[in-house]
Amino acid sequence: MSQHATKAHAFLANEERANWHDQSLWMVREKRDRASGQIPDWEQLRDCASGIKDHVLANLDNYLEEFEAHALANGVQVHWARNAAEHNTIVEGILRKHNARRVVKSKSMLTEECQLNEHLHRQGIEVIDTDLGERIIQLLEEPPSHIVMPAIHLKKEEIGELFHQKLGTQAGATDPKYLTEAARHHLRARFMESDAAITGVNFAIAETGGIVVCTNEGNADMGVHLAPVQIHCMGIEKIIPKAEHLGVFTRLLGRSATGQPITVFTSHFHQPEPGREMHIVLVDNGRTEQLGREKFRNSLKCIRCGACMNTCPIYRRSGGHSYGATVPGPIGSILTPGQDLKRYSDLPFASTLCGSCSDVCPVKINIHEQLYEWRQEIARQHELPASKRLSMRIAGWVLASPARYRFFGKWARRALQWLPRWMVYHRLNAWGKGREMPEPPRQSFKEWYQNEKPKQS
Amino acid sequence: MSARAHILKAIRERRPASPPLPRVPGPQQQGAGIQSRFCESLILAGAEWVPESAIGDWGSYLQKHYPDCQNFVTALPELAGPGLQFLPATTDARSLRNVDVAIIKGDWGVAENGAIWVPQEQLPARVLPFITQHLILLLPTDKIVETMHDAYHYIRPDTTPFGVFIAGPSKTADIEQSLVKGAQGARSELVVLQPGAA
Ligand code: SF4
Repeated sequence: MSQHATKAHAFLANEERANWHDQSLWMVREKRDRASGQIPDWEQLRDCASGIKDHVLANLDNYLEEFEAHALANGVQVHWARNAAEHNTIVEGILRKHNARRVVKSKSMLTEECQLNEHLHRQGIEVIDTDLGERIIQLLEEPPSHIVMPAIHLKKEEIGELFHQKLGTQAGATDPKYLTEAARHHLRARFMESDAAITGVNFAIAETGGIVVCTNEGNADMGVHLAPVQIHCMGIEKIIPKAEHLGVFTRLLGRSATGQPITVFTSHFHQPEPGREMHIVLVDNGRTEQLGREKFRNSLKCIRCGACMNTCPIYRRSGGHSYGATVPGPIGSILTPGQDLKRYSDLPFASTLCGSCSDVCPVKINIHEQLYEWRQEIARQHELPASKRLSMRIAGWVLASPARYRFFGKWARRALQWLPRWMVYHRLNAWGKGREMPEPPRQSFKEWYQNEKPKQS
Repeated sequence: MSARAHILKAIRERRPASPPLPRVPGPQQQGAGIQSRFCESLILAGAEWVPESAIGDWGSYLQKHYPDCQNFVTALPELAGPGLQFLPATTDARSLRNVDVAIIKGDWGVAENGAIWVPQEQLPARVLPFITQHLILLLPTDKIVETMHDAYHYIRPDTTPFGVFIAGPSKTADIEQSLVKGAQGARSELVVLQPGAA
């Protein structure tokens, strides 16, 4: 069994919990439907967003230079990093210069991708994640299971127990309000004593050199405005050309992510406060490579709304951790094979190709088509798991010759009726796991057609 | 080669042909009933609103509606008085840790989502609308626009060093999807609608 299938299997062992997870996410998907349904020109908005992103990808070099020039003119310090290691070294260098030992960080999938926390911890720098969901999983020492709702896989009883142990809340307390209040006190103390703040970036505006950060909790702002140094880490694909494009993306992001008409806080940072420093780190880490893959470059348009995860029948029933990647779900499954084809070769198969992800994606990424493309790429590079390779080879051999196809079709229709169960439902038949094979028809379509034809004429 | 040169070169070698940049929707006329649509959005965002005429004397209004609070501050000198401290534009961020209620002014409101644009010029310290326990935002009714497209038509975000759209109190649903107000920022938001110039 592949990695994802094994982990999904374990996730599904607790049926009640798996159903709960499935329903929680479906509820978010329904909220997204209601919110998007209230915008009459929703589809035009998606087209527009998709078109802006296409244009950006085709002119990314120019927009990055334009962005940098304006940011520098605004008094911001701009850094470039080719990969995760360079990114981590740059951030560490800024922190060292300021003697920063306590850092608060708001949500950033990029720093997760670069494993910044782990790096800084090794250097003796403490990083506190300040988004409530992220703080929960940080205390649990787990990775996020969703890019918008990092702790969506946890029950309030588990969070209550965690907070009891780590934050001293009452034993057995599970009220979300009470637990959130405890986290508020805990985090406010951290904000007050922090030496530096790190945030992710939702949008970076080329024509102004500013960045936009969206949160519901206000944690990015609490961090940035209370710390002497602010660092914003972003993938190079976050650029948008003009400030007016924010109208398009802010209308799409909140509605697609959680069904809110906009996130509670949409903060625009253009200049540091007098006497303070503002840094922006522009990171490649495989993005330019993805740009060169014609069939997959589209994935760089992603605005990390999470809608494709909430809608995905596989994600909902296997959980974010089953993907073993920073970005799980459909979009993760087309991003990760580009980073490490061997390691993630099973993820493009963790999909029914139903296309629901592409239908909800606010920037119209053809996610399910790319999943299919990756499957072919993986087969070409011989990275298919043995069971798939063997069955595909046999199927290919059978389908290549009409005579063989007829012979084996007839054979299979008989065999499926007479073979003992253990010969049909075994290790190689992944399809038959948890599913019954369809009742074999008595005759093939061809046989049926031959019989019917004379009566018609 | 520097990382910068390396990245730019990699892009130049791989970027596809450029499609044109799409046009974004232009500004709309403010339709009839825009104010009530804005107010509905505020309620949906978990905020409350009152007309300015309902406030009367600020001192007694605050005492009545925020009985558990002591530390009231404002960035608007005309509102300051006994029990409502005026904060100058150079206030130290960390000195605001005990603020209970902050009254500030917003520049624009957006009907489709209840968001209010607050640029740095309205803030004695950038952290104020986040660190305060409760937030009160004043907004002239003739400064309400329909959508975010309209908002960005009027707002040039780079004309201010920092600016934020605020749509309701700070929120989280990170524990089993139950909505809780007052995650890290303000626990409540009250919008006071001022009569417009027209
Ligand atoms: S691929 Fe589309 S739907 Fe999925 S997270 Fe990215 S923008 Fe959202």
